[in-house]
Formats: sequence, C-alpha cells, structure tokens
Amino acid sequence: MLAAPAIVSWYYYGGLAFKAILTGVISAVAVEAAALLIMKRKLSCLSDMHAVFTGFAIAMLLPATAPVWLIGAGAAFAILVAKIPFGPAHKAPFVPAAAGMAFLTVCFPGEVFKYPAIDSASFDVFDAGSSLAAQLSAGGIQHVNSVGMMSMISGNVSGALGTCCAVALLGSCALLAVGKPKRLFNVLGFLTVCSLLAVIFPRGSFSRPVSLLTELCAGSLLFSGIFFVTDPGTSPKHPLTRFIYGAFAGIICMILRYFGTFEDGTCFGILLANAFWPIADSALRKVGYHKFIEKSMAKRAEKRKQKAALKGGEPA
Amino acid sequence: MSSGRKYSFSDALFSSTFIHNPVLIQAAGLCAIVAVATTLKTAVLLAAAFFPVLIITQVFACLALKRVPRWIRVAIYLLIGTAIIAGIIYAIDTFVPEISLGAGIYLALTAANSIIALHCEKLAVKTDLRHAFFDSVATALGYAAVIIPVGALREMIGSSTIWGADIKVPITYPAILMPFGGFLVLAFFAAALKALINKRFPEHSAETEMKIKKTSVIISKKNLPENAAPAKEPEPEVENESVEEESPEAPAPEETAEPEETAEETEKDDLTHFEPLDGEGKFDLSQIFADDDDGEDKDYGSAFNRLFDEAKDFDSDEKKEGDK
Repeated sequence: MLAAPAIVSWYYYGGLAFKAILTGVISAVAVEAAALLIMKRKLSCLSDMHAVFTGFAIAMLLPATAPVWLIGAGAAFAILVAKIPFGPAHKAPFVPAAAGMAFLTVCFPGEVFKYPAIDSASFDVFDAGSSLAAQLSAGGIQHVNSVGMMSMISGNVSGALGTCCAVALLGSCALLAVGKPKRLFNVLGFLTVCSLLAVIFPRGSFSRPVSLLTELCAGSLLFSGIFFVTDPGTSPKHPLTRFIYGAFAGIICMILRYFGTFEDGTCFGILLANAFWPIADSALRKVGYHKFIEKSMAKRAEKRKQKAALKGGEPA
Repeated sequence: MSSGRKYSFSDALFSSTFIHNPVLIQAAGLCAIVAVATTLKTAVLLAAAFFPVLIITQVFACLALKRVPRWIRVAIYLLIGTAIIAGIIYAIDTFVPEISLGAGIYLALTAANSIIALHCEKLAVKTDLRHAFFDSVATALGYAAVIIPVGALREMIGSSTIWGADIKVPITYPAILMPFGGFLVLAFFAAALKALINKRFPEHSAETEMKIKKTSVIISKKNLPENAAPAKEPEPEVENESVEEESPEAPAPEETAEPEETAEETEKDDLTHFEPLDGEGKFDLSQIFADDDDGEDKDYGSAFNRLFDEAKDFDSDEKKEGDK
C-alpha cells in the first residue's frame, strides 16, 4: 500500500527518497529488534511488519532532505515509547508512527517543516513557507492559485516526501478497498468530515471548491487518513463504528489545522483521537449505540443462519 | 499488626517509599513533578520543601485532628501547608534569591499537594504518632526519590546540562521539558518500579492487592452493621453476589473462606499501612470505609479498579463486535 506514494516520491526526489525510506525502515526495525532482545521477547514479533510500516511512514512524513538522525530519532521514539511498552503491535493505544512524528514536530519544528523546493536540481534550495499547509495557515491565496490544480493533485509542490501526491494516495486507497475493504469505512468517515468542514469553513479568502482541494492536498491529511486512521490496533471493528471513529478523528484534525500552532497538526489530531476515542465510545454506549449494534449484529447472524439453513436444506 | 511487633522505620520505608510510592504507585502529587521538575535544582528544591510540609502536617493531623470532622480537616491541612510554604518562600527570597524563580507557583502549590491530603486522611488521623511520623518521612523520601532523578534526567536530555553545568549531549530533545515529557519519564519510572515489585515482591503487586482488597471489601460488607441491622438475610447476600460478579477474578460465592485466608496472610506483612488505631486488632476495610461519606476516594486501588473494569468491558465489547 505504501508502494504508491513511495514510487511517486522516487519519481520526484530520486535517490534521496530511497535513502530516507531505507533509513526509516532500518532504524525502526533495528530499534525494535534491540528492544525485543533486551526484554527477552521473541524476535518473531518483527514479522508483522509493523516496525517496517512505522519507519516507512515516518520517512514519508518528513522532507526528502531530512538528516539521518532526525528520521532515526522519530523511528526510535515511535518504537520505544509508543509501541514496545504496550506489547504486541495491535495493543498500542496510539499509532506509533503518529507519535514519532508528533515528537519530532514538537522537538524540531524547524527541521521537520524545512521542505526543499521541488524544482531545484539537487534539492539544496529551501523555500520557507512554500508548502501548501504553510500557505494555508498563512492564508496566502495568490501563491496557492499560482501552484495550479494539476500540480497540486499530482504532488508537484514542495512538501513532505510521500504526502503530496493526492493521486498516489487515492491509488493506495483503492488498493485498500481491494485488500481490506472494512478499513475503507475509517477513511470515508475521516475524509467526509474533513471535506465537509473545508467546504463549510474555508480559510482566508478561498472559494469553497479551492478550499476543499487545498485542504485535502495540503500537509499529511490524506496520508494520515489512509494509513493512520485505519490502524488496526486503535480502530474499532464494526463498520459503522469505524465510520464514526474516522469522523471523530477528522473533526479533531481539522480543528487542529484551523487553530494549531504548527503548519501541520494532523499527527496530533490522530493522537488525540486515539486518546479520546474510549471516552467517545462510552458516550456512545450511554446513548444506547452499542445495544443497537448488538441487535443489528444478532439480526444479521439470524439471517445468515436462515440462509445457511436454506442452502443446507435445498440439496437435502 | 496484631502480633505485638512495633512499627519500625524500615517497615515505613518498605511500605511508603517503595511498595506504595506516593508518585509512581499512588499517582499523587504529579502536578509539580510533571510541570516544573525540569532541572535538578528545582527538583531538589521542591523535594526539600516537601519534607517539612508533609511531616509537620501529618504529625499535627495525628496529634490534634482526630476528632475534628472531615470537611474541616482538609481545610486545616491546606492552612498548615500554606503557612509552612510561606515561611520557606520568604526564607528563600531573603537568603538565596536566585533559586525560587524556577519553581514559581509550583513551590507554593506544594502546600496543596494531594499526597498530603491522601496520607493525612487515610493514615495520620487513624494511627499513633510513631506510625504517622515514620510514614510521613518515608513518603517524603519516596517523593524525593522520584522527583530528583526525573529532574536530572529531563535536564540532561532536554537542555544538555546538569545542575547548570554544561554536559555535551549531541542531540537535545526540548520536548522532554514540556509536561508531556514529564509524564513520559514518570511512566517509564512507574513501569520500572512495577516490574521490580512484580518480580521481587509478587505478593505486593498491585493486582493481587486489588484482589485482596476486593475480597476483603466483600467480607467486611457482610459484617457491616448497616447491612446486618435490617434483619433481612437475603438482601446483603444479593449485594455480595453482585460485587463478586463485578470482579471477574473473585472466587465463587461458596468459597468465601479462601479469600479470607489470603487477606489474613497479607495482613501480616504489608497492610500495616492501613491498620486503623481503634480497630479490634484486625485489619478490616470497613473501618476505612465507615467514615467515607461521599465515597469518592475510597482507597488507593479503587480508581484503578474502576479503570480496569471499564477496560475489560471495553475489550469484551470490542471482541463481540469484531470480525462478524
């Protein structure tokens, strides 16, 4: 799934992208292996590929020119603080990659948001405040208009390594629909709420369609929505609950984007959604939502039984 | 306990500093540590200021406040703490004016530390002077033993100095100086302590203690005069059953003899901590619950109990939802 944005980032940044991704993956896996060895757990925990995903995602969320130590620090924090203490991957209460990114954002905002200009030859020209998210938070409508819709969708703007190209991200979303269709409910809930909020409350003097497009393309909103909100450890299981969880995360992310200090606060939004979801869940339970779900599940199970009985009955 | 051994200082050290560490296990008094213990200097200052406040308040509570109603007692703790802290702040401002700036309002907030209210209310007003004094010293030691390493560690990682002197750490992480960094460091410390307790003193690990407390609550509820008074036998039984159903690990209602034994066993070594002075020489939580009118803070384990139960419910719900 991560292959699509990776290929696009390789197309734009060449070897730099490869190096960044490799750094992220290797450091995450190495840190996890070391921690597992120290804690005398089985190394076979690595085979769920969660560490690989974490390192990969952190590299994708950072600029292509991010130094090795930055990627390594993010991956190490994600694994050591947000994953290892809680046991196996599906028990972590927060998405580890989002935690690592949030830590880096708080510690080194200057490095994390130092995106290279995408049209420079060797990516040593740094264009401060040129990313879409930065322009959105500054309300710079003229520059956004000059970027152009096509380059916005295809990721031909300066920004993080793998989060810019909306087409590639939607492609991996399609892969998701084929491979794990249940997770699509999370993405749907998330994107629905985000686009609704973007249309209803456009920032600056944007027209509503432009606001919708830029909000979705800017920063790591799409990336987080597709890869972090769907995280199997933190997400609920029932499709409707998944949708509500996605919407809940979307509201928090958009609020943070509107009022946050940093130009891209989506990671914090994901973490907050993880943290507050149990409370939201108990609120839902008070309303009687869980009973409703149980009833519908029971009904469905009955229908299945009837169908199975019919199918079993026909050949007999 | 009921055996005539005197409560010694090493008992207090073991119980109040280590097993029931005020910060890491009881999760009290976090505010100052998380917010302001970012350097070794302020950590030492806070720890030092905490000693007189806790000891004097607890000794005073033990000597003079046993007959005062509860709602006045808590206010008096605050007043005593404020008086001491005011003196300390005045002394610091006069003699070493350059220190107090870092601690700011949190030095003053030490007077309203939740550890003070917790230990005075749960222990000092129920025991003799010796017990209260030892407990206060041991608790303050436990507080210092947490806040000083936390302050040192955060200073080293966050600003690459120790006691103001520069040590050359290649990469500093200023995020650790923020409150969330404090929570992270505390969480690792607490996990380490829990692991140590679970490994070395498995009989004191929090889960078994919770179990013991739950069973002893069930037992003591049977003996409570309120339940026995109405002379209706079936009602208290029903209540007991419901309590036992809430705790999944509690044994079946017929085997109530067994948990009594376990409770008695643990009485002998650790739960001296909770022994009420005017009890009949037997540990019984009903004594502690008896004057809890509001029932908000029942005992050390109750908040965690609730959390655990909720988490279990949550998990089982998720499992029910899952994969169908």
